[in-house]
Amino acid sequence: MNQDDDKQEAIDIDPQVSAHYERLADEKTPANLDRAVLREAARAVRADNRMGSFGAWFRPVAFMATIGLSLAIILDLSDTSIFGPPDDMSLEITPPVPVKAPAEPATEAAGKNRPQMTPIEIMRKKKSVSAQSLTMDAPAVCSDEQKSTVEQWWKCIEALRQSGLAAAADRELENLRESFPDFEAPE
Amino acid sequence: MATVAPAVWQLETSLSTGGNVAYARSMGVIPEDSALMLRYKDGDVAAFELLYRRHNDSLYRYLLRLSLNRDVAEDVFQDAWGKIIKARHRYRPTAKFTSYLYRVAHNCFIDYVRKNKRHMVVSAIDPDCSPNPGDEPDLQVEKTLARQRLDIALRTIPDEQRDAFLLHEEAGLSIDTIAEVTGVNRETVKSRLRYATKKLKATLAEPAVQNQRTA
Repeated sequence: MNQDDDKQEAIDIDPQVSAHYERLADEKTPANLDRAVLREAARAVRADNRMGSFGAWFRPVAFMATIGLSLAIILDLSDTSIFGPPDDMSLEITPPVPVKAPAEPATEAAGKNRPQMTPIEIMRKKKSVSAQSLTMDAPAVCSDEQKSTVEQWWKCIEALRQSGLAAAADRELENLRESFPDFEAPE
Repeated sequence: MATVAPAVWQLETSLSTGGNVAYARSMGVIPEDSALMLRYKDGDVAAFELLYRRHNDSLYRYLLRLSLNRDVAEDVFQDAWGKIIKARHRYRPTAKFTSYLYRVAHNCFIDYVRKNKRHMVVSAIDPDCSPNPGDEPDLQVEKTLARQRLDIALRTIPDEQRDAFLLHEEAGLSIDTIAEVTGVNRETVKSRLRYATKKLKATLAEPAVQNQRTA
């Protein structure tokens, strides 16, 4: 049944009462009530808009802030050596002062009679060997072939000096003297 | 009010301190209540104002005569619209907006009565302080008296019958919709309407002096 049928049914009940009511019931909503409701409606939309724009930028900013703060904490807690050694330390190992001590023959090519070493000399030798172990660990500059004879080894050392590799040349000279203790560098 | 479903429409709003009603101008089409509510859902406050102005007076009168108390009517009125505003995001035009509005208002009134049962006082509804300036003084007096008689007559009928009568007269709801709003079946609504109008007719037909005695 549609609304018209219902209306007809209601009119059959008593149209005079409806007419009477319609004529008299003419109160209007108080103005303050209108204002309050409309204000609430506008405020609700404003709150929506604020939340929308707030949410649009809040999340990425919060995310970046969290990342930044986490990084800051990690960096603060981590060892500063990551960025380099403290000022009072140095990774550079200074070559030891060469100690002119008689060394045991390192190769058979030396083939010379070496004098017996005194205990003090042995101790000095050990010191120099331990001090030089770092230099010994340094990569060899002169090849084994060059080291086979004193003359070639000396030529290699000179070549290193001329190239500006003084430290390498010194190391090679020291090794040479280890192998050939009686070697005297020509002037 | 006759409305036509709009295909495309434009809304122009004029808001001033004088309270000019928002007006809708479309390509010759008046927007439906549901369309206005959906516009408000999308953030168009002017659409809400237009919708509100269409229904505020009738809803106010409904609550005024249902509660028979001006303060209660105002509280429930504001509560009902507040609920509609808050629920705008969930609004779906599954039924006429009028049905939706009065269902909300009816439920708000029921809730109010439940919470304030002890404090509900039926008071005389004071006549409007601002009578129609176009009426002559005698006419105004007559109208005031007639309105008082109507209020007294409404007070004499049971709440359910008064509710059905007001939903029919103010909201223009069909019997089926009244049944849906009040939560009863169709025949019960018809019966209530019948008894309400019968009683009102009898009361309004009585002489004025007799009406005042029974008030």
